Amino acid sequence: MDLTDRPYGLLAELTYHCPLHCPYCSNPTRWEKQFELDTLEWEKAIQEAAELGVLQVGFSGGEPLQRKDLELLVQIARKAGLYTNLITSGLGLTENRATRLLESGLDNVQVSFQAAEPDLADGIGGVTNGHKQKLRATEIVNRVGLALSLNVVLHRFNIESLSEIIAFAEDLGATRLELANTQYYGWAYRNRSMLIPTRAQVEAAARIASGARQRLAGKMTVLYVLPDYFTNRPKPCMNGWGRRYLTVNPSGFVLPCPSAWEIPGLRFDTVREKPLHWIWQTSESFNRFRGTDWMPEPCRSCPQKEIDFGGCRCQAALLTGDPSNTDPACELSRHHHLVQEAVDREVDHPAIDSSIFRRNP
Amino acid sequence: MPDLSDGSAQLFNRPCLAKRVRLQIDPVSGKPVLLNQEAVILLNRTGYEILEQCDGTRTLTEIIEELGNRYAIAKTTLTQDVSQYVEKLNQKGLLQWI
Repeated sequence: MDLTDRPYGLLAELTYHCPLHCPYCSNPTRWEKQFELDTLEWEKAIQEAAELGVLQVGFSGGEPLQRKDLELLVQIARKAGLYTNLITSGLGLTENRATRLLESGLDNVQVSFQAAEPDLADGIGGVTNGHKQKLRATEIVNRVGLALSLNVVLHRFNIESLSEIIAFAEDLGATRLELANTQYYGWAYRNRSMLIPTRAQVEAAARIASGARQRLAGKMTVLYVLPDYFTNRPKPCMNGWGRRYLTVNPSGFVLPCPSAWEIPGLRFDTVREKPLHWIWQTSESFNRFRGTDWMPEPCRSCPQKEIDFGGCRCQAALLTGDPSNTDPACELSRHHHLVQEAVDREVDHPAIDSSIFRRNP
Repeated sequence: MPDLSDGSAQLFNRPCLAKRVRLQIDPVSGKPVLLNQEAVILLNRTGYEILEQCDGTRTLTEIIEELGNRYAIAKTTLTQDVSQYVEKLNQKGLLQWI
């Protein structure tokens, strides 16, 4: 392993419970109820992550506000020198709580929105009055003086209102807007035929996002990444397996990416049983797809192999049954037709309420 | 019309780290690092010397003058380099103008 390979970011998934039920949720579709890490176990994990070189922590879930010790964990992370970000639905954020989070040293709050239009947003989130509570949460974030960024997952049902979404984010005073095209793993994969946009929708959205990025430069950062189903080349997933990021899930399992849990045949270690530096440096799971030695053709002889790292292991596993295959999003993959067929398949009269909504574990 | 995209239009404005951005020392490398929720930018010495002055109290001109006192670099080169550097970080949302 190259010693310059140190993790920069820790995604701390505090719980898989969430008031929302989005049909593209990135949480596992199969999750047996297990004891969540307690405060002391998280403290140990966060401190070990900082010693390993981690500089940023994202507190995520599920809905991290459902953990009563969130403020304490933020304090611990700040004391360890980490940049702290709360990744939240906004549901459950009171002014009192936001103030305590600010006092604990929280740097940034990222609130998810499902759409700019309330009925559509709540239809996607599978919740009543969720959008209204989110609006209140953003007001609170601004009022107490925390920095606000927004994340909107894009799919067939909201991608055509991208201009409205961008104007909405400007109105709310966001400093950053992430327009995240749905990635088709887990719940989203189950709902793929429903959620996947048309090629025309994706191209129109890219033009709108690019215009907004230029117009708003220096005021609001607009992030839009073309979805890999439409690009012909794979995304540099996680900037390489076990290279820059690690995820600790609610039971303490350490994953190279949040979706890796669903890759068949991989065994993950937990912070309850092993020190984090051992898991990062030595464990089988973190070394399985690290570097380029594991790569089959066409990746092995590809000039792009240190740029896209062979794409996404979760996607290879999900679509081809073997995580060590080239990501089928790549046009050079012999499985690329699987992606193309999904893009070209038309669904008659898709409706969001016929999706399979995420259930709480 | 002169090309002002290098940031020289901002000479009399005051650059300041954006609200959600932190400048600190990376304990692993011992180097200064600029952080937000996504970016990790390891800085060289000059980058750090520019950014530590971006506290919203000094104009870009004052920052350039101070650096001019420390380094024997032609004023025009220094103005151009520092302006571009600051403008680039502004485009990335890491610096704002006051």
